[in-house]
Amino acid sequence: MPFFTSSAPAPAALDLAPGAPLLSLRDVEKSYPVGGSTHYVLRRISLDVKAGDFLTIMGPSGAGKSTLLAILGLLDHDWRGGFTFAGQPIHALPPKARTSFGRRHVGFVFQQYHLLDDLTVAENLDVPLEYRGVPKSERQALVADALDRFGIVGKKDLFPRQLSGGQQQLVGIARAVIARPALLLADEPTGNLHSGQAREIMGLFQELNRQGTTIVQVTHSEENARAGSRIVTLKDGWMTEGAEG
Amino acid sequence: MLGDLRLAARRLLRAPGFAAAAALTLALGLGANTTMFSLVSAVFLRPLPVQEPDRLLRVVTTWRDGDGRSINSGALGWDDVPALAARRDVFAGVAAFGNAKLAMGEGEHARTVHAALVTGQYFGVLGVRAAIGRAIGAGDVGAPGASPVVVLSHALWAGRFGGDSSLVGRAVSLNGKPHTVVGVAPPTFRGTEIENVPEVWLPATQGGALGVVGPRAYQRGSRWLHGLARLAPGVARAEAGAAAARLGGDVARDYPDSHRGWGVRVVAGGTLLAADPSEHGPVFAVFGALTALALLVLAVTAANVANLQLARAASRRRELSLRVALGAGRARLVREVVAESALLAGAAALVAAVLGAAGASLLPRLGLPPMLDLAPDRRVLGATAALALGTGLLFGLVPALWVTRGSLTAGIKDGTAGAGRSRSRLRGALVVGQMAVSMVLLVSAGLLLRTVSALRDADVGYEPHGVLSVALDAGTRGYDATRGLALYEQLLARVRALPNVRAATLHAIVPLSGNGMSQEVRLPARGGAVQRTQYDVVADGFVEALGMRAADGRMLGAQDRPGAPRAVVVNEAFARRAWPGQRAVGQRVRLEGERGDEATVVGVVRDARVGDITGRPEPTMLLPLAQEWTSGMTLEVRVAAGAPHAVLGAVRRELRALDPDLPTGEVRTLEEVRTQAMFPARLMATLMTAFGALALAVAAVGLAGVVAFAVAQRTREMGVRLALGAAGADVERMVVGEGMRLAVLGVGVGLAAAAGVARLLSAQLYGVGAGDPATYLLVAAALSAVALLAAWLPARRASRVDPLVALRAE
Ligand SMILES: Nc1ncnc2c1ncn2[C@@H]1O[C@H](COP(=O)(O)OP(=O)(O)OP(=O)(O)O)[C@@H](O)[C@H]1O
Ligand SMILES: [Mg+2]
Repeated sequence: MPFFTSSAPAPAALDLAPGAPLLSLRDVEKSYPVGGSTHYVLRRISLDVKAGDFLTIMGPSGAGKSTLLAILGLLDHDWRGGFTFAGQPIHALPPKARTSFGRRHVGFVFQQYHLLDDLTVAENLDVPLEYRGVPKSERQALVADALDRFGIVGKKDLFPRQLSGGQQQLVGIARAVIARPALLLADEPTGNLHSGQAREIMGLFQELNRQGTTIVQVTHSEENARAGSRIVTLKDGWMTEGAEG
Repeated sequence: MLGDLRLAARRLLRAPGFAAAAALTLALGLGANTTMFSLVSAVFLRPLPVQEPDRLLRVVTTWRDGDGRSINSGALGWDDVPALAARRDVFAGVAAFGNAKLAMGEGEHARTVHAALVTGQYFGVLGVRAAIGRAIGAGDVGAPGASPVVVLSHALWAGRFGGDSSLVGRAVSLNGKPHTVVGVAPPTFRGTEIENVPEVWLPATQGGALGVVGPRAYQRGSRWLHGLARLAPGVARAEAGAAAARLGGDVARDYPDSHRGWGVRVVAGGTLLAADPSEHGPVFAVFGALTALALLVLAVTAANVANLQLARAASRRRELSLRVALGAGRARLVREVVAESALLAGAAALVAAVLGAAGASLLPRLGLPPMLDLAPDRRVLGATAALALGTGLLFGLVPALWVTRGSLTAGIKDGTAGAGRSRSRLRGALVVGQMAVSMVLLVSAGLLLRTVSALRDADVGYEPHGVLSVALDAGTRGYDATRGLALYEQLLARVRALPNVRAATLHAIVPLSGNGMSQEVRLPARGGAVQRTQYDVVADGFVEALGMRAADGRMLGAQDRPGAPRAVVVNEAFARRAWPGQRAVGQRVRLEGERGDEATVVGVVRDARVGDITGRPEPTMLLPLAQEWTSGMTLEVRVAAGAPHAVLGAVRRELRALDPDLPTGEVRTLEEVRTQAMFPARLMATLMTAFGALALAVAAVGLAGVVAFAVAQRTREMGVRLALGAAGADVERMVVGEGMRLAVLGVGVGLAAAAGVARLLSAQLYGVGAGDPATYLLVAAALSAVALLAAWLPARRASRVDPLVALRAE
């Protein structure tokens, strides 16, 4: 697969000191007030993710995996603790700045694909570029390039409902990486796919990872987890290194 | 059905917000219609409190003018009444009445009362019996002046006479002459007209003795009576109409001198105005337009209800699908939605009755005649209920069919799939329609408001500002021509000498008051050609006091004495018509057809609007009071500075010094008269503005609802977009943009529709074109601004969507 030809945009510049982690969490905690008391979802999470890592988060349902992913993706600002992203202390940034920082450096892949129903495949790919203010002429070239790279040129004018689940997720991944984020976050990317499709998606992730994209995925599947280079497990909000059991 | 309603009530109570919003919006639209119904009903539908009102007719007469056009003149002559009454085959009875103003009481206590001078059959034909004593009967209407009796209105008797029943048999002074009170009318009976509501009724034969009609009033050719007739048993109105028309033709043939071009018609007489467009064209046009627009307001509000129903159905789609899966048929689901609509409509009708009554109670402030009884009656409430039900069913049925169409089972899998897309298209179409109708209403309102302001600033050819108008009638105190003229001249001299009075005059026809006198003159220079003309009788100083402008020759003055050569002044319209291309000054006219004197045109005045504020000035002739004695005059006093009313006290003192018993009639300023003349335009402008504002408010709520619903339905999409890098402002702009697309489409459709409607309205417009670009632009801009706000308020929620929803599994 012809991934990452030269015309792909350069990743947003990050001043990463050599050897320093891309992501670094220190005693991050997240809780919801429930009734009069406090319900902890994440407890004292400390985690370093180096640039080029392919990390898998596992754990039972309700363990806090999606919650952690949202914090890493800078969608959620309501937590305590220390979080440094590419040397930038996120905990010191005001929420607005966190969002725009995240927008520049993070791409998301969702379990339900979440392609925009009213837009064609090509238009779906265009959305993140448009939101990042990429000029229209450049966007066309980037979209054409991504369609080509992911082998979906023939599908560019179809609407999401005209695609199979695996094809939709392919588009979802293309859309997540089209703006060349430093970090790709995927929440159960194969949760709605059968195993053959899941294997293809994992292959794609490994390819992206080899090209330099840092990936954090959440999965229940041992097989998917093996595609990555490292596993952490969450349980009741507590994190342990490695697969459980 | 009852079971359906009970279930529907239970469902509505579970969604009280929806129910209240739907019922209240609908109530607003229905209320506007209730108000309009009240007005229409009071004028055209509410039966007069007489016996068998639907068998009562008005007899109106028509004239063919020089061009052969038929003009409704209305009035009958003294001889015409028995001629009509002789047709016993079609009329059970024929009666007539003339309006007059009389001075009641003496000296300080003298007060002007409205009087009806009635023929002997008047109370009989109406079937009205006196509440106390007796009514006027045939025995009272004999030789002129032989029966000085009077029947009082219940209001006058209860008010001025404190409801003293021993008054019957005693005398009251009318125009200085004692009249025996023979009875009091029932409280409900206030005559048959919107205006000139009688306070006293007298035999028509007393008119001469009271000095309110001229000596020729009882001769052929003088017309001052309004005819009423009751159909003979078993006779249809058309039959009576044909007989009356034949009779009119016969009379016109038999008396060509006085009745050439004459015709007789009958119209329904059981209401204040006959619901007959040929009789009240302009009133009909105004009422028709307002009713149509009130219905548009209802359509706008009903569209909101339909929209709410669709939104609710969308959120209930899963439930509906489930019930289909459980075996419910489509008809059954439709019935449920319709039952809800019927309940909502019922509740809305109740609220609308209250709102409509409140609206109707505000109408008299616009200057409607006090005779109108605007309280909603059974008819109005019935119409409201019928309209509510019709609207409820129609606007309930359409969404019900729409919602249940297509494959309902799809909904079980996915709450938003299937018909969701077309449903939101229907909702969008409803909003577009609402915006378009609001646009139509507001453009109409804008054009009418500009009409009102153009009328306010219009050059009417005289200067109404700073003039006090005081009605007088020396005839009420028995003055003849010689003594009357002397009185009026002394009065003018005294008033002119008052401080702060710049000019004063007397004349018969107050411009734009709705009164007018017309006659046919012959033009000797054109072989005796006939010209119909309006005319006024004026004292000297007329042009100065009214601020008119002389165009040629001299104005009437002191030299135009009785016995001097007869002089007239004509307006430019008269001169153009009578002597096109020639100088009018020096020309001669023969007054009052063939019998009258010849008079010389001594001057020409510029055209002024006397009859109609919007119409073209009609040919008009001014006759000097000294040569054409008229007792009923209006004193016009132009003040140098300040409010004209300030000189009233002084004017009254001068009048009392001359004759302590001569009462003054109506007192007003020319400006007030002129404002009153703008009444139809103001009524339309005010109601239209109210309707337009209402429609816009409702449409804005509708738009906000659609946007809010879209935001709620698409929370996940918003979240995804935010996760994909959209800023809050991006999604906000997107949602507002979608709302504005509907609004702009609505404005576009509305522009086209408004252009069409404005053309229909053009007869009501003045000083502004039906296509006035400024009005259209302004309304379009205002509407867009409101739409922007309506879309933006709910759109803010879109930017506050938590992007985490994108990560959560369904
Ligand atoms: N708004 C909220 N208020 C209270 N508790 C919440 C809220 N959102 C999430 N939680 C709780 O946080 C916990 C973690 O949720 P999260 O979605 O991160 O779990 P997860 O590990 O992703 O589970 P799954 O594997 O089912 O996706 C759950 O117990 C959930 O009930
Ligand atoms: Mg999860």
